[in-house]
Amino acid sequence: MIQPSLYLILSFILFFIGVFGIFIRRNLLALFMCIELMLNSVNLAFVTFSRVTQNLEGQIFVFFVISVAAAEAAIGLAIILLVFRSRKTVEIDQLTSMKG
Amino acid sequence: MIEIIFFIVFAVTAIGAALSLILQKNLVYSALSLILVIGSMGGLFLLLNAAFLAILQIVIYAGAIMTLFLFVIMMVDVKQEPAFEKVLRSRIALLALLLIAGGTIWGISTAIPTFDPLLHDFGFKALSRELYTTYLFPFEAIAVLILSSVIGALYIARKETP
Repeated sequence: MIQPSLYLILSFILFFIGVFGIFIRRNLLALFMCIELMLNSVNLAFVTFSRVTQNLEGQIFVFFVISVAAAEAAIGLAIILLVFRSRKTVEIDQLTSMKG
Repeated sequence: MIEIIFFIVFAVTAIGAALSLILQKNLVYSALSLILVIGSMGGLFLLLNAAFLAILQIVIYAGAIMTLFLFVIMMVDVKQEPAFEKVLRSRIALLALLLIAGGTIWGISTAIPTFDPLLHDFGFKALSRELYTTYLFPFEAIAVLILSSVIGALYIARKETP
């Protein structure tokens, strides 16, 4: 039988890969995909704890997280499209017009 | 035994695909790696007796969200981005992250109980009963949220007519 800590360690490793991706990528779409990766790893931790405590509320929360991620992806991608139309780039190094 | 084999396969696939997600220079390959991560995550959900979430993961994430991502990647003219350009900054970040990750993993891996056999119904029926009784209001609010986000996305991304 697999230990729950293995699932949690996997979830933490994926989360930190996502955080590291946010540090090294310079593209808005890539940053967005790293955020999705982090959301997924948190979902894995939720399901693991739901299975350990035999309580369905963890799974319900994962359901809500997935729904909110869908809404967030729709809005976020629309905003990225808008940024691309007005600035002709999605590299965050070149989006510096708010810089003082 | 077979559970351990499946766990190792899914875990190795997830970690490898996640690394490929952040290291690929081409964004389309990154998106395909993210689909692989999501698929293996669905397999892990199946191992944890969460069949409904595994199906949702495949249908909503891999089916809907990633399709949206691929369309936007193709609409946005993406130049090949030089990865690991800021070497110094990324190395410092890597060091800090590895320290935090190592400490956290060491902390959590000691004090977690093991999986007990399931005592009560843990499947579709129990989940939907919970969803439609205790969590009825948040469930309906999610419907309103998704509707408003669809309308908002359409409004934000519309073509400006002069």
